[in-house]
Amino acid sequence: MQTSSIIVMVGVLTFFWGGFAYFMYKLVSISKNQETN
Amino acid sequence: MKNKALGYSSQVALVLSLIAGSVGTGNIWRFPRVVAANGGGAFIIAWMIMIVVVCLPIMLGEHVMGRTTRHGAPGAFRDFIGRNFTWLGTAVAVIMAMVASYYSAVVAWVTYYLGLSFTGGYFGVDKVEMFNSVSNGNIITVILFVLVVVISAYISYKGVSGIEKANKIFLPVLIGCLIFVAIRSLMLPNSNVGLDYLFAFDINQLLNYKTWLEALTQAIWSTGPGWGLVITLAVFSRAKSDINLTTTIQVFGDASVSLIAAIAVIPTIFALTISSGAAMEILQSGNNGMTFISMTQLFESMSGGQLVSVMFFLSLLFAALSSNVCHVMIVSLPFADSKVNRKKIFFIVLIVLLIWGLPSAWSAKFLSNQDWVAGQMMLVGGLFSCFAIIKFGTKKIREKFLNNPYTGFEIGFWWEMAIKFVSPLIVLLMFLWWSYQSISWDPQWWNPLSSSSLMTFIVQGATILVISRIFNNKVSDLIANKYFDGDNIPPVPDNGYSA
Repeated sequence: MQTSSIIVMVGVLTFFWGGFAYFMYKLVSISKNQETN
Repeated sequence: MKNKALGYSSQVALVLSLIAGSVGTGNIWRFPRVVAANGGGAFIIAWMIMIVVVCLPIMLGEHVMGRTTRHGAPGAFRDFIGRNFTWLGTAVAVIMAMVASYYSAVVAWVTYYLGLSFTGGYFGVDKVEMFNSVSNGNIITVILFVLVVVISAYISYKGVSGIEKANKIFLPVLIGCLIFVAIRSLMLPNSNVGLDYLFAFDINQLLNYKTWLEALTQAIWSTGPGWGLVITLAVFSRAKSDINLTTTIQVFGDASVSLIAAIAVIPTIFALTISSGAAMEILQSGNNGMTFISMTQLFESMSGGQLVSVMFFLSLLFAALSSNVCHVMIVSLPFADSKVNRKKIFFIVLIVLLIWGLPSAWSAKFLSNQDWVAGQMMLVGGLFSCFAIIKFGTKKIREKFLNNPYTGFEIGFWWEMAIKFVSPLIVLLMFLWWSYQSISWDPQWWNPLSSSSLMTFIVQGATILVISRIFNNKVSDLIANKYFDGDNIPPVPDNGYSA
């Protein structure tokens, strides 16, 4: 694979998959806090 | 006695419902195709920007519309910006009835092919003939279509709990199967050629306006602004749930599934075809051509192809079915707002969808006509949403409803600029571009009976808008309650669907 393709692949997958995982984690944490309070 | 709270059981359930509504066949059979046809990596970057700059702002506003008014599309427009604009929401609901009708036929095709994958029934036969026989005048397809409509209407009839329960099955199966196909795809020899093509970056493609228009088209037709989807699903979200976070996750979830699908499809095609040119030919053969003709040929030629075929069509089926249930909900909720009995709604929606969808189940040409008209009308729906959000007041929406005390992160001033200028202008531009394109691809663009002509869109679209406008006051009066006082978020109402 070309270097530019690898950079785009890593960037895009990190942005969307990583973003999805991060926001999901944040949502679950907030939900748990709301339940505790 | 403690009553069970109405609405989604949790914020996670809300977000899964939103993702299930957004993820459909477009993620699996359209995204990989348009990525490959428009320069791979450059297209993906443009698509990424369009999702964040155009789709997310509209969907955030639509979430507020549903949450605050607690009504389906017609009632949401009425209570958000005034009685005279009820028809905008009515038109959106009618367009979605059209979508649910023909989309049920698409789900029937996918179910048919899932059955053929199990039995190996399409192996050793001409794939073009097979697809033509499945999609035209096939009684089994019609029976499957009726089943799909009944199942979709039944899950929708069960309300929020029905959607939540269905998604507990649909989403894991969809994602699990797609990941399986993606892993198998990456294990094929030469799959790296496809992967390289998928993410290849060419600056010239990024400077090409067509790349951006195609990226925007894919973003809008995949995530779902202007469909009434977010408005409808947000009706059942509780006042303390986080609009900013849930809508952002919806958009990211939809995009993530698209990327898995691209990794599943493109390397498979490149690995199993004799040349890059042959692979491109497949990717340019249209949604149906690629999925039902070329992919089945490739599954037949690969080792373990029957299992991969089952997994592929299973993921497609659950993606399509989960969206279809939400389409039916968009159509059903306005009746519930008008105090129609839930059982009656079930039968009304069932009959409407069966009658409207039957020609699509019988003829692929009719289906493509409906797909073309509905695709364009969804853009009009997006403009309606932008109009409603701007008319209500972007500052108030952002400061009072989006950035509430329960939010995980705040939305900045950029959102107001995006929804006032960027989103509507870009959606309008895209609408005009597709209309112009239709003149070039169809020499009979003036003929309303031609399946993808400009005139058929104008005639059908105008009919929907005019009828919705004529019945504006009637529909407005039928919607019984007004929950929203302009400032406070009302609790989830007991409309029969919210428990």
